[in-house]
Amino acid sequence: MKPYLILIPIFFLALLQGAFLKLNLVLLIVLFWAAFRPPKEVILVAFVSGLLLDLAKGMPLGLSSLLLLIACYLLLLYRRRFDSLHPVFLPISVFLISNIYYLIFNSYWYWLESLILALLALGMRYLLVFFIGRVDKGQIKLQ
Amino acid sequence: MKNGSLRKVFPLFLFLFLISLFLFLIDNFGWLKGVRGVIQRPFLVLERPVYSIFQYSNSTIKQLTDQSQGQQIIELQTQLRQLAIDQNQLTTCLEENEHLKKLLGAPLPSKWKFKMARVVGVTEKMRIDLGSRDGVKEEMTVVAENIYVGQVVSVGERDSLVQLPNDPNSKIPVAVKQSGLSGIHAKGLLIGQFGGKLVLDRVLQEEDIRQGDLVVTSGEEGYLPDLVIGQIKEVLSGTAEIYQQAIILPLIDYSSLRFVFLVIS
Repeated sequence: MKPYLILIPIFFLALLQGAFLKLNLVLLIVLFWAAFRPPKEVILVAFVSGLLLDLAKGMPLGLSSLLLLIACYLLLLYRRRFDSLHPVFLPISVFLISNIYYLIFNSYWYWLESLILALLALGMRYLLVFFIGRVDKGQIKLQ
Repeated sequence: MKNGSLRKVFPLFLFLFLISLFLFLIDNFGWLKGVRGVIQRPFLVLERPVYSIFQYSNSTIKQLTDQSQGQQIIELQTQLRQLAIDQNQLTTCLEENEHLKKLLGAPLPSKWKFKMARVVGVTEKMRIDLGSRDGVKEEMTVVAENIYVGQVVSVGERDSLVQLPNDPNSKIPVAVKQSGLSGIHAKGLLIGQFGGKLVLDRVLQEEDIRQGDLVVTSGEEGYLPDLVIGQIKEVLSGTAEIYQQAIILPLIDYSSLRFVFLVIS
């Protein structure tokens, strides 16, 4: 049940996106989740996150879920073929998927926003590797 | 990850995919409006303070970064806006007067009626807290202080989405009015650009547009006429081009609005 607690920050991010935030951080978190977490969990998180995002942004219900589900499934497929921990895997995936996402929602390419998301994904990936390294060395203990 | 684990989740993926598709379709047909309105209510309630906090922090940061000139700039912007509105009203009054002199006895256009709406959020589009149950319909015009804010493009049970002029999909037929002179001097198309910019396009080269000219809605293609949108900041005329372009400065910061008015009739 604990992994699904990710839906709490996603809910707050969806609220921020509904109010003023143009960057699609929900998409970033969901794709990040898709790169490293078990498939079943990823699919469920993508579905619920999409619904939350649609409700927060006043968009047609189910549209974000559809897109997030497809995006996550594609990412799950490709993470089998490539090393999901490779530095460029997640940023490139985020960049491409977010561009398609923006195009479907706004009928416009949002290169800059997608690039920022990709850079954030890169940063998050390094944080994760750093965190895993600390856990390995015993500096951080997980229960 | 093994192939099997992805195959195992495929039925779940397909099931959720079909549910999403089903929800999307029934929402598009409007059969979900009632339920959606109820579910969406907490989101609207929570987003309002989030947006207010954002606006407050935004203005505080602006003041802190330029404390000495900030207040003066705000005052000048307000004055400029007021002058532009006054000027447009005066010009309109002059024109109306001319028309009335000519068309004495003809019926006057019906008065517009307004409904106040609260801004819930501004991202790519503006979100307001009035929906279909409040009588909001698509293509309704949204104004603030006689300034054009946008057009309703999507209506929910309790909320609506407004397309702002700086939306990349927005194309508004506009007219250009020169300062101190009555009548329309040029016609064109106001196009939203990536990054929130506004560009006046499709203005013929022979038409004289200048910095400081007012850009108002022309009243074509279902838009209400004579609503101020902005002022010409810079004319980008290339002699080889058929049309000349201009960069438009909106008279209002759309993200600073807390209340807007819907023109309901």
